Amino acid sequence: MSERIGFYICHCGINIAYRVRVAEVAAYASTFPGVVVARDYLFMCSDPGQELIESDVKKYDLTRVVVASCSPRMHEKTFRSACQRAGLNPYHAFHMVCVREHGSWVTENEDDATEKARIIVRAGLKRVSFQNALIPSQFSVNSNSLIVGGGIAGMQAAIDIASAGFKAYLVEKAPTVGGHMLQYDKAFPTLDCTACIGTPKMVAVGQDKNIELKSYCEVEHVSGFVGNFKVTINNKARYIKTNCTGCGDCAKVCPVDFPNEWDVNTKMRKAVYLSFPQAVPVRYVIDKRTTAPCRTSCPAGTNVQGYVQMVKIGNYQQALNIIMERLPLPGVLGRVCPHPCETDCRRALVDSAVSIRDLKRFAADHARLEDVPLPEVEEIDKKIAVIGSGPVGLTVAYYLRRKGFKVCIFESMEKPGGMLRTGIPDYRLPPAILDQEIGHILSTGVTIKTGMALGRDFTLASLKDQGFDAIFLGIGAHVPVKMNIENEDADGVVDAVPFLRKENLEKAGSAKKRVVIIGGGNVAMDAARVAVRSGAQSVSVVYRRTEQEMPADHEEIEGAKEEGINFITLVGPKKVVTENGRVIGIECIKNKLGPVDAGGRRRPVPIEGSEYVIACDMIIPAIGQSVETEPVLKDTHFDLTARGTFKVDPFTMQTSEPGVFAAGDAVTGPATVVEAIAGGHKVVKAIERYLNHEMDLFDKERKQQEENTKPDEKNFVPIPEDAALVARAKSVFIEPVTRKSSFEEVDMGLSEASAQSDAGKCLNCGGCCECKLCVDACKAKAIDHDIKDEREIIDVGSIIIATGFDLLDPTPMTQYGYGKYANVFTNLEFERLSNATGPTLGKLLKRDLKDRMKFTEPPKSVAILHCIGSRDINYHEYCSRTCCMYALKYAHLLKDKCGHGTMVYNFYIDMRCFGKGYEEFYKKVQSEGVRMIRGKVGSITEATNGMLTVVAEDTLSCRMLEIEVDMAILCTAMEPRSNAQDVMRKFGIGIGADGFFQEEHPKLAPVSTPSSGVFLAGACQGPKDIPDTVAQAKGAAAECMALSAKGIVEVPPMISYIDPDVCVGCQVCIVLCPYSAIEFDYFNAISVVNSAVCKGCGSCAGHCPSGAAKVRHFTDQQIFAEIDGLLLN
Amino acid sequence: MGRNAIDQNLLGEIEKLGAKDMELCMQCGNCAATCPLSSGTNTFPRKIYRYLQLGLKDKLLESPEPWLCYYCGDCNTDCPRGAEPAETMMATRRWLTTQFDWTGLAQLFYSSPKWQVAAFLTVTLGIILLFLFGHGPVITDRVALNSFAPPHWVHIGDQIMFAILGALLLSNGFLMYRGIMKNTPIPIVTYLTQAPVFLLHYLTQKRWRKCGTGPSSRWLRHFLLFSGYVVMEIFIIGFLENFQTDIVHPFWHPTRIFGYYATVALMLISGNMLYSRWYVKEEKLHRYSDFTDVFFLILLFVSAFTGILIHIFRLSGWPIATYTIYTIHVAIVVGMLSIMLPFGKLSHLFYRPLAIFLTTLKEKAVKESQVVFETVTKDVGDNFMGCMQCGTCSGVCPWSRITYYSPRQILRNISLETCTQATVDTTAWDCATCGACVEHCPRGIQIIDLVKSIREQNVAAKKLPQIFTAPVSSLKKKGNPWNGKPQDRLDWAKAVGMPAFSRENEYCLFTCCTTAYDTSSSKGCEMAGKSLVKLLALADVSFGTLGDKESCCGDQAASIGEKETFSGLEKKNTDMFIGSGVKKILTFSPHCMNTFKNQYAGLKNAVDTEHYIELLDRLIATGRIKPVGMIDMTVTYHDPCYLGRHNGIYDAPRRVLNSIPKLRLVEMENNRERSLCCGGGGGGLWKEYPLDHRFGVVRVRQAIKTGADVIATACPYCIRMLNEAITELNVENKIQVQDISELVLTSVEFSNDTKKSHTHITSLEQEDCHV
Repeated sequence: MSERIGFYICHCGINIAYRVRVAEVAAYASTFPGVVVARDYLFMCSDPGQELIESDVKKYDLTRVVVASCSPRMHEKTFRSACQRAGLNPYHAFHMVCVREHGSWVTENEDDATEKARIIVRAGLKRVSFQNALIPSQFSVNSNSLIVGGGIAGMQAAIDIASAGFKAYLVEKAPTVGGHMLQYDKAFPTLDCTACIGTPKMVAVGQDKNIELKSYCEVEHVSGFVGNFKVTINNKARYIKTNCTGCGDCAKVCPVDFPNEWDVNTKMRKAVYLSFPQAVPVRYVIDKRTTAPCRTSCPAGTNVQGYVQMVKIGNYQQALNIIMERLPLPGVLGRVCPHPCETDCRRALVDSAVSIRDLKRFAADHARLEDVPLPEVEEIDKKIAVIGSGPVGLTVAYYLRRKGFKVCIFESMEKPGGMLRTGIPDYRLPPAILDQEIGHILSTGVTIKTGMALGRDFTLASLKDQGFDAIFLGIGAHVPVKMNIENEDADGVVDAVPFLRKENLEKAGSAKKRVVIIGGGNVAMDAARVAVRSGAQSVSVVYRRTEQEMPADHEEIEGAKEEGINFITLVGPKKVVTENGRVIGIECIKNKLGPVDAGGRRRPVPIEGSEYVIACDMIIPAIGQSVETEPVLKDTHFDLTARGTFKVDPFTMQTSEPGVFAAGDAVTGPATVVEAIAGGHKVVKAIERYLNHEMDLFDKERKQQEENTKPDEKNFVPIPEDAALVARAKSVFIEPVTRKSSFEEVDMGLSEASAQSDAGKCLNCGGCCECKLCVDACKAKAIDHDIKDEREIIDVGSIIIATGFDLLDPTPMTQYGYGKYANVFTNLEFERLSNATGPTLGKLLKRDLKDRMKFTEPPKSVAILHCIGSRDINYHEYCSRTCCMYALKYAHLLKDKCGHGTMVYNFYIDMRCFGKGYEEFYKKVQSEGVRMIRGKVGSITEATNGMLTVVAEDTLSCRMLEIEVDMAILCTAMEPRSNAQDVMRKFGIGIGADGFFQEEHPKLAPVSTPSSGVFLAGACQGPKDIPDTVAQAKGAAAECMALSAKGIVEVPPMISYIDPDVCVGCQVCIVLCPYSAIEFDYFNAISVVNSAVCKGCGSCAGHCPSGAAKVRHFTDQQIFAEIDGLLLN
Repeated sequence: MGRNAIDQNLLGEIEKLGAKDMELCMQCGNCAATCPLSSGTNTFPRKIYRYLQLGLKDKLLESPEPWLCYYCGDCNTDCPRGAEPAETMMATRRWLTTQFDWTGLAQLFYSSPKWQVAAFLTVTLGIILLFLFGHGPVITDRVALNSFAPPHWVHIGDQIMFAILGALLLSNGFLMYRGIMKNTPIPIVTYLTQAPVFLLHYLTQKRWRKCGTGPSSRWLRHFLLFSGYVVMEIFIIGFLENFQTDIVHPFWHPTRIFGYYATVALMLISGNMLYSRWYVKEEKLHRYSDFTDVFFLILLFVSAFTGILIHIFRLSGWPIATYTIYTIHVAIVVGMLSIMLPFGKLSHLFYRPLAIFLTTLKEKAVKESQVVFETVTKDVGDNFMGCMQCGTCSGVCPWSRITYYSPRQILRNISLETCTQATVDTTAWDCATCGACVEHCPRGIQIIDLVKSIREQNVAAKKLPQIFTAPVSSLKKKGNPWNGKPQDRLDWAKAVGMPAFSRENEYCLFTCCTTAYDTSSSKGCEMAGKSLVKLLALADVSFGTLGDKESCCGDQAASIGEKETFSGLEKKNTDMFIGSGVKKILTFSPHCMNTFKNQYAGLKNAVDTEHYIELLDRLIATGRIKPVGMIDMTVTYHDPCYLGRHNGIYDAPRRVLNSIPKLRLVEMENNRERSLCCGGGGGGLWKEYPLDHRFGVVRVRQAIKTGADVIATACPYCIRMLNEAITELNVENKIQVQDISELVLTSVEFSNDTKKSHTHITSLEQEDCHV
């Protein structure tokens, strides 16, 4: 045996020796093959102990050393250095076995402990001969540090690092640095004002050249390893550029109010806001969320929230301007739009949807179209022909014109308007409104040629010849659909479309005495109500399903009923009964509802033999229309759909003929005005791109479209819990009696008061309403609503996580009535009350019982409840450590600010005043006359006068107490941040049972984490007060600076490697590696370990199917030798 | 209500009387720990500080502790906050004196030295005037005191005086007795047998000898003073005619020997004490002196001094001087006694021994608990040792709405092994096992299990309370607690045609004994049971009952600690269910469900148990029951504890109620997890409490507050208890109790009379055409 082994066993004072007979173990070891010297010694870790090893190595020419003592975690490094000093490679020569933690401490009697020590020692002696020489690798360190979180911990760490001359990136999620500390009023126990001691730090991080402050930013991804991290940071869009002066002019004009998060919702802020006056950086931010549902549900994409807000503040012209961005016919849409926006309105979750359509009409009625600003653009010398002047044609014409194109409309009728003019009765849409709005469109420079019918007066080819660069087909769907029943063509059967056209244009009074309308859509309702006005004595609507399934608008059905129209439901037409070729009735069959069909409605099923005849003189079928494509097809071939409409690309709206676009009813079949306008907008974009030769842009959008998902409810502004119930605004309607004989408009619109109050109901789901008033108000021109989130990658050598804590929400603890009773406050709310920048400017006042945002008078008696959610297994088992002290502070502040006569009761379980000066503060506060009650509060109830009754047992006097107070403060627990799991994953650190980040060792490494180069500071590691937080931050900063100053990091060599000759490239290890240390080498098709990142955990080695992955210093041979040693008898 | 209103003024009042540093005390208890006299449950001074800090006036009036303190000052020396508890105890005694004195004079004298002096002077002057105008013949040739002031008359006078003062003092003492002995019923015999205690302490103050490290002569000095005083009292009240005599007795005569002794003792000690109070102020004991303390000592000294002067003047043969000093002496003594005995410092001669006497009586009244720590840990494990004494359990206990009831104290006593009958055993019988404490315990302690263990141990020791003997014996003999004949178990359901169970049936319907033998006047449980059977039949549910083969599930037996009775019932029922091939049990009562599901080991994994409300919920959801008839009523739902807290079923009953058209469900202040118990669980059905001590009454009042017409519930116990409460409160016309099944049945049965309403949903769908 060439190995010469030295064996040493430590007494560890009596820690080992009191159970293990160390001399006996040493004697036993000396009998082991290869062991040259075996000794026991009182303290092997002491200098003489180490020297013993060194001298023995020289004296006996030892090649291997085994030390049996405490855990290698304690002294492995010590003995390795000793071996190194003696000239050995420590990894080759040295092995340490643990006979204290594994032996003496956990074994009950001396014999067992000695026996166990012998076994452990044997295993070590067996193993040591198989160890190989290893050399640690070294990497350079980037001297920049990243600090995540701009609270007091983050700020302090950044300042310390910067003062050492290294660069610090300080990333803060919120728009301002400061964190919880700056929300507080005074800091216990010395009662210094937190702003006074905190703002200098804020200013410092804002101004220090070595600190790069990144507020309103979030870390998205971290890669790399100690000394060489690559961090991706998302700069969230503030929509305000760096030249913001913080003057606040934007906030003055902003119409949108939200509760201010900084003030824990005790006061309001605008959608554009600065958290508090001392915020750093002094740069406003716009609160934008996911687009509001009203806006996304509007087919035309109108900024509904924007104009509703403008109506709210009475700026009707701006409301109209916003509408005109997307809707060229505001007055028309304000009357006839089926308002899908109102269906999606989230206000309905509180009481009822905002009357959006009526507000639109109100804006249109109260502002001037002439004052709508047109964008300043250059004239473009491209001509576009728009065929048809219906809503889609007008949309295409107007918005292309706004872009500077030359547009010419061709209309077959005498007057423009299409179905708006011929199809919608005047009592719903007065012609004057239509004329006015079309007039405005034409006034922008759109030319029109009326009485020009396609196929009759011109063809597509002729248009091209005239030099039109693009053609738009918006010819609508004007051809009635047949019922396909007997005698359909008899005299007295007039389809709804021609009937309405005749009545609308000529007021012909063509209705007969008894009229039957077939169908249940809006056209049927229009026809029925027009028939009433055109002289019919009785009008019946025949519909094959029930009223519930009718597609017509609810208000139309109600309007028709009010006008005496008879509804016959669950009846289908069978045949027209004629006499002498004239209609005398219609034979119908009764239906029942069958199963649900593809459209989601129950299908009508005829009941055999239930036929009967309804006597009538006139039948108006209103069951649908189709497109008249014939004149178009004369000279050009177009692809058509099965329904006979034009086939277009859903993105470009281009027909099969290049340069010819189509939209509106001609594409969709009969649909709504707003859907036509939506199609029009697509066409405008497409024609512009077509003329600019940019059609390939659509291909990108096609892909994006697939990825887009519906906005999540949680991205909207949350619905306020205390929203008051407001009834929906109702328009004034003309009395049914008068309106039956006239075509005057029925709906008189909203009054100004009800319009404004209804607009006030808007919840501003999307945050900022994009009314752009702020853009005009900003003198510095700092506002840009089109800014997008930006990502950047920075290189750092070390990272400090200082993400802080959240406060527990006590709402679920219904026994305390938080959120329900006005004067139950959380600690942070109380801090804001007390803070000079808070809602009461520092006065401690009670809340108004009705209005949570209003504060009235100082309380005369206050209960402070400790341990709310702390020391409670139902919430958090740990103690939050700070509550006792700030509760005392509150007591003091109450006595101080509300007068000494204020009764203050502290309900505590134990008082934990552990810090410097804390006990003295406790004594001081007590001597101010604060009542300390030892017992946790069971419940709080509120009397009608707002007084709160607090029930608790005073466990010291063994009495139940029922105390009446004006105000109760809940000292809620400090919780891990809600996104702690995310942060944990990003940085590869751990989370303890309490949910806070886990430090490497609770006593000896309180700021390090298992991820080297990543450190913890402040309350993200556990509940902490300010002094401890600052101390820890300074510790973390020192760790970073140590790395940066040394410039080199040494990585232990006991890591994995993958034998390239054996690896089959299965990549199993890559998935398993918790440190993402393995990469795949595509060229050689094998996995490769990044030795800088690998921690040697062995997951890969344990799992590798081919045995290619191995951990250095834990090879199979070494482990088996150790096992042999353990099992050897 | 058992809660103490806080008296905001108490602190101020007592501070005026000399209490010190109330705000400094942090309730560490060091003073009590140092005090050699503080013991057992009579701990002080911390407790007294506590009452003062919080203003618990009534607690203070019930405390004998201030009188147990002799002011050794050890607590002052050791207080970690530097407060002076002993002085506060002294002030508290002064305050108590003012409180016990119903005339209000003590209050006046303690708050104002001027009044005290004035009153003294008035009495003194009165006596002088009495002598001035009512004295006997003034004989100047010799000292003839007995002619000047005939002893016979003086004796009658002082007896009248003592009678008046004694009566006053006794009546004040009665107030003290009433406070201290509140809630402690003790037979009169005990008072008599223990009477020597009073005498012993009155005569010897021997407790004082145990007191502290103060100057050891304090007890001796006081004893000398006291003996002098008592000797004089005996002379004056008993032997005045022998004492006040013109005959000059020989020196050895008892009147002279004792007279000299008393006088010397009184003068020496009172003089010594005055010296301490006046000149040795820095000494811990005498730093603070109330005016009364000094004034009393002065009067004592002066009385003794004038007394001996009479003797000297008489012996010297100075008639006028003798008569004059005699008049002054009597005037001062009468003045001192009338001011100090009932209204001042001297009253302690009665209060202190009385307090000791009453405390002894109270200690005698404490009975030993049956609860053994080891048995408890065997029964429930040692998780309860984790109690941090926060008191949440007391706060959430429904009892806390009525009186002071503290599960916390039970836990405390068990873990410290300081249980007594009163604090643990008896208290545990009052628990209704509602589970509110368990629900809210921040340490997750199963307090109900502890209560059961306490009860079991009491049952084992044959200490089952009288009220439970009838139900328990009925359970044992007849298989139900209501003394019903087993063969009559199905009588109630005859009218509704309850089907018998056969193996094909999906459910075996288990009737609760309380429903089957509904002994209540309202018959509420029976009616509820019938509705359920009808509903199940209407919904075509496959069910049957085992009827008279059933025995009580044993819920009450288990919860009152009748372990054996329970296991008998358990075995019987388990055999019955398994033998009859039951797969699913449907119970009417949440208690039966809880027992079968969670307590019957034999049914685990073999038979499912379900409460009817869950089935009803499913039947409605699947449309097998259609509650279409409108019930235009406001209904509030009372969560039965064993359905809600014990088994987590909160939503099903509410869904069922909400499915009834037009019914408006309102919630009481306490609902769901925080629901209040009806009081029926844990043997509560048989317990008798005064009206204001009934949970049912509290609950019905809460229900009335919501404006509801009906309290809906789903438990026979609740129906019974709430109905009883309604009858007691006489509010039958305001509110009534109905089982959910009754409400549902009403809605299902009367469906024909109702009209259906539907709502129109605006749809965007376009069937035909529209612009």
